[in-house]
Amino acid sequence: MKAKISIFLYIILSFQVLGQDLNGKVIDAETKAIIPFAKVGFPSINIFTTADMNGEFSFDQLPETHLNIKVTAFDFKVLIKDIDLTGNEQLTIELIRLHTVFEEVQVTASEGRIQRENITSIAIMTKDELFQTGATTLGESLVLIPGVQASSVGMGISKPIIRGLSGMRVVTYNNGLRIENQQWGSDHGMAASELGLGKVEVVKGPSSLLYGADALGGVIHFIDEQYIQEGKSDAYVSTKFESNSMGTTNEIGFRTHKGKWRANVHANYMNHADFELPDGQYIKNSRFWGTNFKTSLGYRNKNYQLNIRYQLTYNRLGIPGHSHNENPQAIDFLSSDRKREGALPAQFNFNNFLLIENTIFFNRSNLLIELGNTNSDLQEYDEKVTLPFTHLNVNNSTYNIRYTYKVTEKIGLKTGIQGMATINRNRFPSSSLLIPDANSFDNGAYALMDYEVGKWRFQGGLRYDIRYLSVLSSQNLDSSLISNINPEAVNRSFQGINYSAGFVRNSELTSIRFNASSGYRAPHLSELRADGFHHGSLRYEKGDENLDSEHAIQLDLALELHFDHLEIVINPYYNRISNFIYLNQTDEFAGSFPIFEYGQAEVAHLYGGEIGIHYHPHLIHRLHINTNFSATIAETQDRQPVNLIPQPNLNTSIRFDIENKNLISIKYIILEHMYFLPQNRVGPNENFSVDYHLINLATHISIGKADKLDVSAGVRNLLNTNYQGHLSSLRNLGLSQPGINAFISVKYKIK
Amino acid sequence: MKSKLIFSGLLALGMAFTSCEKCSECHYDRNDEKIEIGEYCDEGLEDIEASGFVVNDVIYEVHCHDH
Repeated sequence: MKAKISIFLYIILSFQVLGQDLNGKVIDAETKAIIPFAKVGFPSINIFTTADMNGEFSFDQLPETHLNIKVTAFDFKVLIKDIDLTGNEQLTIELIRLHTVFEEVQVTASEGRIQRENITSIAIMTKDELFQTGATTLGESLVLIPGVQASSVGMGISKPIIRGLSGMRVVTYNNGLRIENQQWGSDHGMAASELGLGKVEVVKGPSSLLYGADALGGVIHFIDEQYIQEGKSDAYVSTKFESNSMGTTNEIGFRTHKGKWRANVHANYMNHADFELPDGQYIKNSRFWGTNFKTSLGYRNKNYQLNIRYQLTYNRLGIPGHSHNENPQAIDFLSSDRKREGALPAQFNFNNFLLIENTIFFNRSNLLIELGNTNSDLQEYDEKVTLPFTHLNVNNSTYNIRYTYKVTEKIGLKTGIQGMATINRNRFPSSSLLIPDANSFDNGAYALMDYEVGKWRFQGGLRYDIRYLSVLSSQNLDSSLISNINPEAVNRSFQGINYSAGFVRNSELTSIRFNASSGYRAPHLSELRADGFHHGSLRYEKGDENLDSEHAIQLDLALELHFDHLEIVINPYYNRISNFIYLNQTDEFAGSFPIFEYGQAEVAHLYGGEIGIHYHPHLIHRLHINTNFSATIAETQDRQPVNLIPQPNLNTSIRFDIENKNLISIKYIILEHMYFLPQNRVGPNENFSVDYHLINLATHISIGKADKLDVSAGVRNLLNTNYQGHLSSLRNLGLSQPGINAFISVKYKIK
Repeated sequence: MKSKLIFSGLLALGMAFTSCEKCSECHYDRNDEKIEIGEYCDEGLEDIEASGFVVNDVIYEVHCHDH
């Protein structure tokens, strides 16, 4: 073991002598004039700087390898290109002047490329974009991303849905760390916070190749805010108030970068009372509070980079609409008084996420080694104050080793191994088990190659995965504890061979992209072993231990048109899932609860797409009109609609950037309109949903020199629309979503 | 200034590690009727929820609510 450690240290240390210094200048490609204060950086190693007034910039101790450089300057086209740092010490960057200013161009974490160069369908949004109209939670904000919606249980619990699929079919990543948090339960929300968040990337469709099993719907990847540039520190405090739930969110943050070390630290606390309906009544027990702490510590020395990321989350979430009554009525869940103090039923979530990320850079390649651990503890209190109804703990240890090699200037290779060990345990004392104790072990190996020629880029890859699942016997437990599960032990293994292949052709005016990808998902414990009441979903569920893995194949096509003042994106898709697992309502009842059985349809077809338009009028460059339409149709082989598919939606925003230079500077004003079309294609025993409109209005103001004080204010659901939302669990009880909500957020930059 | 900071820190720690008394109204169900049995606190609350309420040698499951 000592020898292995010594070899590993030798490998790391032996590359430390190969640091590269780089000096450069940014100029106008046409006039050759200097461009001052351009932002220059290397996104993949989280290093950036600002050019001086002579357009000059410098970096030291860069790895001697190939990296993408990103250069941005106001009124110029964003430049992203591969730089060979093994020989380059002087660099002249030429930027092309634009007379229109489109949005900030983002580089994807998965491929290190700008959006239009990716072969898979990836949408990116920054935290500022997601929260510019004052969304209460991260889940609520995600509906702004085309093809993404969220299901909810009140305001505090939300789950992302990608192209109609959610739960175990959507995998969440936090900076390369896969998150497991009992996402099988419809009332178990997403374990992510907007605290210290930089951006969100959504990979739509089966994404097994780089992310492993289960991601048949796609992947949501939360990526932390960047480190600050070298030699600087900053800090802030912020507070937000929301009128609808009398909610507050208070936050502090600090970033520093000295020499080889850099760090970000953030913490917040939020507290919301019961939310108010458009008619002035309140939803009982929709209150929630929580606190988050997040820190990143980075070290970079020439050809070695280390990032250690840790996040702690503790939430107390009231569960509205929860009842043991045989025939609950909407009035049972309403109150004329707003309350904030803790009440039952409630969930207590305690999550710890740790990721250690090492990158070693070689001349034409790099090696990424990620080791991570997530621990998610969930207690649900129901009818007893001191004894949880159920107490679940899932511990997940992950590894990801990826070697990226630039074979030639035109051919790139990514290959690696990835896996995780997931340990599900019930904690005691508790009243009942919802899933049995189990261990599962995943291992996978993959290779992905891409080839560029002229305007074309091709990519193809293969992956093999195997999962061993061992469900432990619960027969030795008291019969009252195992009334909701099948207590027998079972061992299963599942395998999958998956592929991805596609191309993109980029020209000045158009981009055409096509991708075929596959994925697989092994049935979850709850689908195999459930056998009892699930009060959260008001039904009796029966699992089936003979369920097979689901396999998906998606065909995804995108056409993008880029004009000076107009961008249009059309992105249709077809996703075919064989052995599709679903809950089927039987004719039988257990007491007053209907019995649902897990079953498998031979095949499910999901198809639809997204259309987006971004328009800048030539005469009013500061005006941005964005609109996008998303729709999914899902049906089984006998054309039976699949349950819980989101309503088609049309989101439009009109934003006017003002950017005046006064002491009080209005940055922008934005008006957002969201139209959710009716959902008439519903599964058996599922209710139709009517259409509704939501309007949000917000502004952002900066006060003082160097924008010391930032103020955002606005109103959500401006027309106080009474709506239910097709994917709100409260809809089944006839309960609506929050009414008008005024908000104000103040952020003070300390240094 | 330093002593004030230390005092504030100790006060915050003291408050954080001092638990409040936890009380709840409890009931049991008999023949579809909710029978209130009053307020229980701390260990008494834990005991009654764990062991149930005995009436004429019949043990009834107890439900307590803090709302």
